[in-house]
Amino acid sequence: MTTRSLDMDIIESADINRMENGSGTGKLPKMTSTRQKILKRFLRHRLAMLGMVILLVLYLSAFFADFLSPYGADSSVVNQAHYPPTAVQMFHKGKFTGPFYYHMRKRNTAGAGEIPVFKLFRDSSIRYPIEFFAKGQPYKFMFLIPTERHLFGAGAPINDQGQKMDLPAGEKPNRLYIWGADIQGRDLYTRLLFGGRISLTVGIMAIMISYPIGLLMGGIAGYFGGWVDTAIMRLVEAIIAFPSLYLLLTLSATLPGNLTSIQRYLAVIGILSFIGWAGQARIYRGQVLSLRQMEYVEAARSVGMKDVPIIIKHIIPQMSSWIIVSATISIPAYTLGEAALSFLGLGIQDPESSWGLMLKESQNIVLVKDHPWLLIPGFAIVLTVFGFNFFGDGLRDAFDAKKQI
Amino acid sequence: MLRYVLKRFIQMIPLLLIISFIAFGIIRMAEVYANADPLAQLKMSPTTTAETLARERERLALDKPFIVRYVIWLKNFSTGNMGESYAYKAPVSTLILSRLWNTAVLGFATLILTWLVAIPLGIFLSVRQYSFVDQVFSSVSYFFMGFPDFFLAIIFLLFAAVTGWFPIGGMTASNHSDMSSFGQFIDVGHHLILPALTLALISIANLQRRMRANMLDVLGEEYIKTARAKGLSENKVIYKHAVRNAINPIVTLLGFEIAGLVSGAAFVEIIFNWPGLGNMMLQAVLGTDLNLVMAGLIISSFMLLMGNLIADVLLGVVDPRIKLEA
Repeated sequence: MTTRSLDMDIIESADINRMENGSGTGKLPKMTSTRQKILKRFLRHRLAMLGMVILLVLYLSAFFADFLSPYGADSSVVNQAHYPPTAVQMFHKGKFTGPFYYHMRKRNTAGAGEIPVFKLFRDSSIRYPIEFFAKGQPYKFMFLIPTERHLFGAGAPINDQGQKMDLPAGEKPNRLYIWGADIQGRDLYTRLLFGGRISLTVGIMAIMISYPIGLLMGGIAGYFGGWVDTAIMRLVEAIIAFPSLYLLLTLSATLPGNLTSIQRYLAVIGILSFIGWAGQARIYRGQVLSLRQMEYVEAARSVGMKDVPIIIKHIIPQMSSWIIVSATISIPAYTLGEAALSFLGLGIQDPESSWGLMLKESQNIVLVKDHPWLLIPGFAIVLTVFGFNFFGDGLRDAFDAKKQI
Repeated sequence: MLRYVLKRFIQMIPLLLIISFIAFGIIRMAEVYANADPLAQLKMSPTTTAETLARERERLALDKPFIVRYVIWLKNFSTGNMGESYAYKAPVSTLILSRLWNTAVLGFATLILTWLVAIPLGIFLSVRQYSFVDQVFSSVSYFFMGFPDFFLAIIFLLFAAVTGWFPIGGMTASNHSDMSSFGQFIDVGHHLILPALTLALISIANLQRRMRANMLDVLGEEYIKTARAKGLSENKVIYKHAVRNAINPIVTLLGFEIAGLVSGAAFVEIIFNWPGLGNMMLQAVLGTDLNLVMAGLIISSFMLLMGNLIADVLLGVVDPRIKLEA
């Protein structure tokens, strides 16, 4: 369909009213460009708005991870493994004191000679006030401004009278674990925010690699046809024929063990893109096959334009809305790919954090039974997937991608 | 039909060659970059003699150039000699066959569950379009379509651990070999429920939506109006006229589902510790059991291609309008 028909079916209802009433004495309805109409349709899509809000919250929290989190991503407390989410209190002995939490002490409840069973006991005589804009680990705010203020953090322990006190010998101050602690006593909330920096960017980075490759290969195959087409498409078919998780596993076996964390991050992106480009190439080839017979392509060729510039300048822009939509919709697959690899211990490695890696602990289901907060990273993954799905669906409806091509 | 299938098989050969070449290249990359030693497992075993090592080195032609090695491997593989898994100390072919069987059991159970639920559900919802039930199910299936399978598997496993109603992973209980054959059957079935349910929930969401959409298309056709006009009962209209036409395109999905189950089940197998192909593949990769990795890649790709072929053939069978050209 042409853009004209698209314009026709999205005349704003307000405009229709004005036309029908004729109140505007010969005034023409306000003109809106196609782009404005698409934007309007998108903004009216409720689910898409929800998706956008979800994604905005997730990405912002990852970007400001070091400000929002009270501790460093890898700062651990050895004997506070699997501490439950801290119970934040407001009233101490019936009196309002502002947010604080009580000291917890690990004690062996089993008798002598038995297998030790550790339980946590609350000590109400020791309190930790929660401070806002508290001083903590130094970092660079927005990667620029060096500071050591965090949104919130735990203060020094105080006693019943509210005076600063020293803990009994051999005890370490309790941390503020709003979402519990992992096996190394690291704050799950902190790791989740920092993990988002990896889990949320892998998909976008991989798309930025696999899409151009897929586009170019698909474009070349569809445009030139003949043996070039055959060669590229055989390769594409072969890659698609591999079950993706099997290929993912095998490719991860090629990663050397001594990679730095940033190299590993890039390698994971590389692996995901290697698997992803083939599917795109196949789809674009089909699109190009139909587009190359269009008159404007013929015209470009007849004025002596070279083939590759025609693909890049005339054919790819024609598919741009379609590309944006399908890219958005395919991001979750990459996110899940990274989660899968890290979950199986083949992707991102400790001490770096990623949601899949954090979920790795829940492979031991008995552990999860006792410490259900270990599942929180999984919900973050689910939220991301749905955020992109909602957002992508909205984009598709707004662009009306199906109709256009 | 036979000619068509035969032709497709012949077309598959060059594709399988490319697939095996890529797979071989990846394994070679693992050897070079990750220092994955194909004989590592063999060397670790105390019973390995220098003779066996030399023999395996000879068989894999480790000191020859890449292309020579590939050709030798291809010759061995096509005659059924897939080498030996050093970790399991068994021929790769028998290992894969037994694992493939387990994957097939899981896949088959999933398939039956999916079809038994999704088709009636799709029909039920299509005749109640936009009703409250329909809207609830459409949101629920949207939810499951997007829900990551491995996380669903973890949640189900947690359910098993908390309630104790189901075994926590695995395929058989520890006393499986002592049971009667009926007891063994029940035991496997008991282990099968949760992994099959995990996989089925996601496919039900998909299939149910398609069935519903197809039904709605068909219900708008003229011949349905005719059937109603000549006074047929609503049951006859729906089950005799509409369902039969709506189910045709769905049948082709069966083939794709067979293909999808090989790859889609892998992650769920790993989490439920189901001894299938996907689980084996992970162990093989972790243990640099390269013979096994290679064979697993090829076999699983072959299964995928077969699934696609079945899909195309089924389409020709159920829809006489489509001619399969040989």
